[in-house]
Amino acid sequence: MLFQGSRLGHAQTMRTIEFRATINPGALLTDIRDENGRSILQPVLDLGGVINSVQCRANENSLKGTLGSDSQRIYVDNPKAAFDGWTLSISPASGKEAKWEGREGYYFDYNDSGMDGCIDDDNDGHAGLLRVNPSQAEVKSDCLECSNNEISVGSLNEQSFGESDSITLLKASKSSDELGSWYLTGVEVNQSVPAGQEGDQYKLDLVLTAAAT
Amino acid sequence: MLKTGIRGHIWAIVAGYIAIMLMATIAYAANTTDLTQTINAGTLATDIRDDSRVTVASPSVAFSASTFSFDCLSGGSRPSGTFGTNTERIYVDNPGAANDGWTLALAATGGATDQWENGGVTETYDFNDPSGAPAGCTDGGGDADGLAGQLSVDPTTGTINTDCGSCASTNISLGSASAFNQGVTDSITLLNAALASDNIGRWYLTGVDMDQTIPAEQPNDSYTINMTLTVTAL
Repeated sequence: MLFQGSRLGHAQTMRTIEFRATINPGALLTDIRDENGRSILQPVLDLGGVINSVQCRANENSLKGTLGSDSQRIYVDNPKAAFDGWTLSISPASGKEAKWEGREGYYFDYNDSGMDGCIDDDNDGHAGLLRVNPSQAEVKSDCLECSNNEISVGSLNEQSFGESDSITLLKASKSSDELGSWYLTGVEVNQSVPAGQEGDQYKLDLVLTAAAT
Repeated sequence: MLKTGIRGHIWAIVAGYIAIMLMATIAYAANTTDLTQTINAGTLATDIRDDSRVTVASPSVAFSASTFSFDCLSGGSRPSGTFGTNTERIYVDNPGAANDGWTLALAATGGATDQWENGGVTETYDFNDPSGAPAGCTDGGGDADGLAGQLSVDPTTGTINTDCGSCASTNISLGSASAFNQGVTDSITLLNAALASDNIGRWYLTGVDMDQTIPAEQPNDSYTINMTLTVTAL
């Protein structure tokens, strides 16, 4: 199409072009973001330190931390990707055989349920138990119109890796908003340390998984 | 008498042929044709043509695809496109029609109230709203139309090429980077040809960078907006 016309007495010609843009559908996802919504490349939860002891450190004497803080928010985005609800859970990155790892040969376990993790009841040579308690955590929406109705935190009764390979942090029912973004903060975490555990800095990688139901 | 009569006939026949031959010769001389040809003056024009100078019937610019986001897509996250490619060149022809220079500008075909639209026009976003931080992320400013979004155009990344026998691109300059802003910047200049530019020439522009800010939670779909190039004599 070639148009001709005039404006203010000047010769003028025009040509029309179509500009095209595509916005693809998003996926159900989880992420750790700061208070500005930026993804944190290497999120870390520090459980603090204890002095090595001849006694097992469990319950109130265990290592403690809080998963999900204002600067490391646990996000779930559902851009109309999960219509029947979803769950957010946490589990070790390397599965049931995972262990807290220090220097070469220094380990302790995360999923021994016996005596609060003080005994090696899965016979892998290491004791220890990680508990994750989302029941007191807080869910907030971060979207234009979504609400956190029908989104609930995980149960206090399902918080031990000694009893489950995966712990549910959030559950969104079928009636929850299909378009929404939410974040979770304040999940209590504690880890029992076996008696006589060698002093060192240990780490364990855990994975968050958002799954449509 | 008989011989005289026959000779007379022969002479009469010969005379007849001669007369016919003479008439035929005269007739051929009268069939001369004058060939005439007129070259009309051309007009200042803009067009989108391919690398063989064939007009592109339905030119388009495809922006990079984005993914639905709960956050506004701005800065390096926003979709980008290139206006003017080797197969869709932005041409300006000046066949001595604009002797004082000209400008080439881009504006929304539907005017300042235009918008990006999906196929059913059920979802839209803006191209000329600078509101918010980053700019274009919220609705407001001079066009409270309920739509956020802003299109930025950067002609400084472009390249001007000549396509003519003897013209030069001297005194033809690229426009400045700008963004559409309703009532303030409704048209963005891509090229400026000064008075001293060649009066006869053909040029094409490629490589103009463009970016479009996408509002938060813009529904996934395919969107279009028509833009119009206008070349105007000064």
